[in-house]
Amino acid sequence: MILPTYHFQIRLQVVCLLLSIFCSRQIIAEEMSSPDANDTACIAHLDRGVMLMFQGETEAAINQLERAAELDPNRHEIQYYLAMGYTETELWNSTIDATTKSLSIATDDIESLYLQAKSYFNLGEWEMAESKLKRVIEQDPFHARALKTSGQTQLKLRQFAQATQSLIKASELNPFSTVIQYYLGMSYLNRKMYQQAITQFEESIRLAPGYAQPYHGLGTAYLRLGQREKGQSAMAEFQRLQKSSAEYERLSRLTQVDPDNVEAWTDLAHVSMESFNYQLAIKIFRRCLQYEPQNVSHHLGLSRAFISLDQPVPARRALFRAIEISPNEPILYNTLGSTYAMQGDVAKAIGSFQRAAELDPTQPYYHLNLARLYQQIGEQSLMQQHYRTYEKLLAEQMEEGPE
Amino acid sequence: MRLVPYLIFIILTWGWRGAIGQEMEMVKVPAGWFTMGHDNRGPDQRPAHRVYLDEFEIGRHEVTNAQYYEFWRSTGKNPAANFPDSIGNWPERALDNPQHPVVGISWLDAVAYAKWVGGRLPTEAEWEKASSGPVDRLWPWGNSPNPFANSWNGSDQYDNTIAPVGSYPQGKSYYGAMDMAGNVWEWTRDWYSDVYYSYSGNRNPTGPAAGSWRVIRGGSWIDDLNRCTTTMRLHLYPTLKLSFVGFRVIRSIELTNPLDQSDKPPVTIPPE
Repeated sequence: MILPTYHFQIRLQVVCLLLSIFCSRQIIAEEMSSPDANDTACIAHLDRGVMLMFQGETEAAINQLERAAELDPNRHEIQYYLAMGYTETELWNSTIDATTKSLSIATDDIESLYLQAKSYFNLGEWEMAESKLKRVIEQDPFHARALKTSGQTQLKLRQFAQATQSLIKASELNPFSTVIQYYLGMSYLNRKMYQQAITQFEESIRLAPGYAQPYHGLGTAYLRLGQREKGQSAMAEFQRLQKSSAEYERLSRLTQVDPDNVEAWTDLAHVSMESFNYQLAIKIFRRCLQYEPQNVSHHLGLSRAFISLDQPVPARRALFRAIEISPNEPILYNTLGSTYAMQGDVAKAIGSFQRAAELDPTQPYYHLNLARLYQQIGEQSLMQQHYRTYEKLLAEQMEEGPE
Repeated sequence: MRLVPYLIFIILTWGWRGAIGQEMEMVKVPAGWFTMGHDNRGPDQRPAHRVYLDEFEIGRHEVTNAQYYEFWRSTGKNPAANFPDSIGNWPERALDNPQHPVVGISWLDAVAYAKWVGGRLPTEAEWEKASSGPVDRLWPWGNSPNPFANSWNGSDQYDNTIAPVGSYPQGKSYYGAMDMAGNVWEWTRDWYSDVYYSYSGNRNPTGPAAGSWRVIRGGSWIDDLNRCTTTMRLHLYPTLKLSFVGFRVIRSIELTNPLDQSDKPPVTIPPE
């Protein structure tokens, strides 16, 4: 057999390609006939709905998804995303309706089943919730969210030993969830296993120090063990955080009713910081900045939230913006110095702290920061010099008393 | 008779698919360890853990309209969805914007295309290594929030719409892959589980054995830059065709690691 040359083969390929396209145009046209207008409109609404969900615009997303569902009620994905939207707006009965439709189309869609179970849980229908959750876990034994909700449901049903089992599995899969650790602690507490309960509550607090409930559990466990002092201390912390939480709730409601209330948003950001919820604080400070982009306090708050999350780079970016707006604000340079210090850039950190001290020579803590850095690099005399200044200024401040 | 040209075409162009694959520019990612996930960026990105991957090659760019158009025209299957009120209908938008990443394709469409060019979709681990490099980077280009990606309301040159692939050369990853942050989300091979990192294998992990959703990575023009990080994970039903989700293709060893489908306990993080 004679093998064609490379160029001949290419030419032949081109000819055959054109021939095949010509002959098959009709077939392709039939096969590729455009989908009907209804389908196109449905996909467009679904697309827009998911896009809005991604952007956190839940109510607008629900609107789009409802229109998609009207056009094609037989797509379980639409019903699922609709259910997700309802869940986010805490419309539990609507969630149950949407997931029921989703499950009638795709019977094995465990995420729809899970959302349905969660809705029953939130409606206080524990048995119903538990039966759905069992089905989810049967299908996916690694479904940590279902195991967690199942543990919570079993606690409600006073099935404490089962709750422990479910929550142990959930915590193995998700060892970073403060909520799982808390409920596991509660299951032990109800079983009078106080030492195990204390371990779980302490772990829960370690994971999220601003979450009030574990302090209550911890206090209860200590009190039941007769360790009065530790119990009272934990209870006092619980009350402090509860108060902060109540303030958070109040401000949340206020911002919902009046979303343009920047003062309320600002207070909410500060409460979030106080309760160690830095991720939330970042979101809220950003929201504040949408209203007041030139507000230095918001930029500073944002940078502090990033610093608390051990993220010096975005913290610095926020500070640079603040310095652009207000170039002579000493606190900004002090915070900037902290971001450099976090990354071990001692030279830049010293420069920033020095600038802060120049701008406000009466503030002792700028000198303390400088003293610490000089100590770090072995500059003993400079360290002592700044430490003495720090002590002197601090003493002066104490003499003057609070303003 | 009508089948004759088809047959001739198939026989003579048997190697052509390879040629299309070669046209697709690839970047090499050498074998080795990298840190996957992050402890502070989101619950489903925890824990940061060391993962070893064999060498692979990944598309420098997301698959374009032009490339997908060839596939669609050749097979007559897997058309992209129409979005008449936004980015336009298929195939007209492919002809108008051949260098835009293809969107409006489901995970199943993406898999079919990848198979057609002799590749496959990247696993989550492969995608993340190609994006973040051997050292942890918040964005493919590094840790500074520069406008080197097409994101929502970003100070980039595109006003909340799709950009042609490779429009942000400064945003390339350590290995040279482009647009791994922003522009369009990218389908990966893996099922999604929010707790997978707590029990995943540390050698060529391939995701959970089953699930409802497939993982998408990289963020898109509809997302804030903070959602376009190297470790950010989201998920979608594999049947969805959305105007902000595309994909890129990978060439590598076959994935045959059975350990990753087992129910083994969490692994120990290996040394550097």
